[in-house]
Amino acid sequence: MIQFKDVSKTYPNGTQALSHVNINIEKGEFVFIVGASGAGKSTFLKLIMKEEQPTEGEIFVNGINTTTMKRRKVPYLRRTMGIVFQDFRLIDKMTVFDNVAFAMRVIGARPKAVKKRVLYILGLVGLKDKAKCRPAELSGGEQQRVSLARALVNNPSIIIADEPTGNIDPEMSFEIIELLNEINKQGTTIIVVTHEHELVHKFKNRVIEINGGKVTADSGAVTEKTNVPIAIAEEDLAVIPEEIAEEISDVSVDELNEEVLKAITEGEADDE
Amino acid sequence: MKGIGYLVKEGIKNVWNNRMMSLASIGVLVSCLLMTGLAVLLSLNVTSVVNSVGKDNQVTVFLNDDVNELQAVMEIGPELRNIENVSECEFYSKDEAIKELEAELGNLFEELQGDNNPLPHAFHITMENLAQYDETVEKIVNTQGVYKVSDRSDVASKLTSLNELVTQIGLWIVIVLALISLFIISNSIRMTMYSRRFEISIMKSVGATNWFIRIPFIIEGEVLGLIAGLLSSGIIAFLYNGMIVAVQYIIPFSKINYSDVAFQMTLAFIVLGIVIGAIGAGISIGRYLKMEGGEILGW
Repeated sequence: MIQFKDVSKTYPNGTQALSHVNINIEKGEFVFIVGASGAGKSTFLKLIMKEEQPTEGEIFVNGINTTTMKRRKVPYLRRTMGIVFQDFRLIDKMTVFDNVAFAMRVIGARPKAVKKRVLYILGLVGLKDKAKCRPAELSGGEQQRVSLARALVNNPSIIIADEPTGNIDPEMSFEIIELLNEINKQGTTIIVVTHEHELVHKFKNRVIEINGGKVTADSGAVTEKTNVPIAIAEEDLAVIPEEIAEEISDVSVDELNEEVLKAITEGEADDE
Repeated sequence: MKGIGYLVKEGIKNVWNNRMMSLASIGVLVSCLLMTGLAVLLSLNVTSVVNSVGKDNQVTVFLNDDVNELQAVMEIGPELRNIENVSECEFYSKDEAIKELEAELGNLFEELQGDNNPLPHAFHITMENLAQYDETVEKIVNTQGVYKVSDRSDVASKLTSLNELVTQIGLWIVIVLALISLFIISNSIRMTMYSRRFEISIMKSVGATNWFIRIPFIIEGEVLGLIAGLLSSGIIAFLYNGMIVAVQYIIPFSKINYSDVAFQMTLAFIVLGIVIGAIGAGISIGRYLKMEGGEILGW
């Protein structure tokens, strides 16, 4: 799914962020990336998202060599990823619904598909009652869940979370990681950059440590998860609010996803 | 492209959301368009004046002594009328000429009437375009039976160069003001983009194409240009009519009626406004589209 082959990155000011990094992350894995500040974690994520270009080596995402990818193809690569930021990056003047819908609208999804999918995803992250709220009216944990909903809404195969728990209290942090675990169970690859060791220890996932631009430790792929506490009841995650259920009762979630994907693919074809 | 309705709506919303900046941009753009319009109208008026003066400006073509009246009217006259750029050609006999001199200078010319008249027959010729004065005079001189042409080339060249000067100044005014407008619009859009840099960074991270990001800003620029164009075409009609009445009160001249050019001016204002708006927005957005992630947010 994600493969770094002897990747190095040196910034124009001479800072070497990564040096000969080799990493292989399989489809459906949940990986924590840990390391001190300035270790090269953020550069690692930027290289996956193709916000930066490696100085040496090759990067493969979904089997595609992104190192040689044309600039105009980058948006389509990013549509396969959902990004969660430490500072949430929600638009204050938009409601929770619009913040999530924004991610679909800007890739040209149909308004009907947007409405159905966003409401479904908000139900999934447990914000069914907050659709009309503004980000400022929500707690840090809730804001991060909106950010997560936005990352999920385009049905990405990879979720990249850059310090998703950095700005929220510990209890909420567990909730967010639990949510990511749930998403991971559906087959989505999750990469979480964090420096919170407590979280890493609690959730038995693969841990890659980067220090001084090198991979200094890799716990390897976790084949069986033994400790996945679920604080949010599964039925709560899956339940779609009643008033919304009525609207979309004739359409299954899979059909919704298909509809969105179709909209996205058509959008891509049009843009091309 | 899918979602074009959403993009257009976003562009129009931008104008309203940044209404103070939009208002300032429209104000400056209207001023620039008005000055451009007035420069064009001034140039048109000078051309009109030059043309009307040119029409009054006749040259006299003197014929050889041996040419009689019949030859002049029947042979040379039609030949002169056929020359390109000759709009009017009027026969002026030597009898008329001597009578005019007599009327001006008294009986000194009494003895020179009839067969003793030393003056040649002549034609009064009016040219269509004074810029072609020299070529036309050469053709007239080369006509059989023509002795010489009264030289008015200095007047012709002065009027022509004045017209050219005014046209050139007008053109430069248009270019300079268009550049100023472009700068103002691109700054206004840059402000919008700065205030929406957050959204742009999110758009890029979720995979919006550059065109999808660009279009609302270009539409915003076009809307600003369209509004400025419409306002300018309304204002200039009042401004021009008021100015022309004041100038004509002092110096009467053959003016251009605004109603004659109203359609072209309105169309030009709207097209110019929209084009400047779109190019100005395009210039600003280019810089942001090259940036990635935190760079857009200035981190």
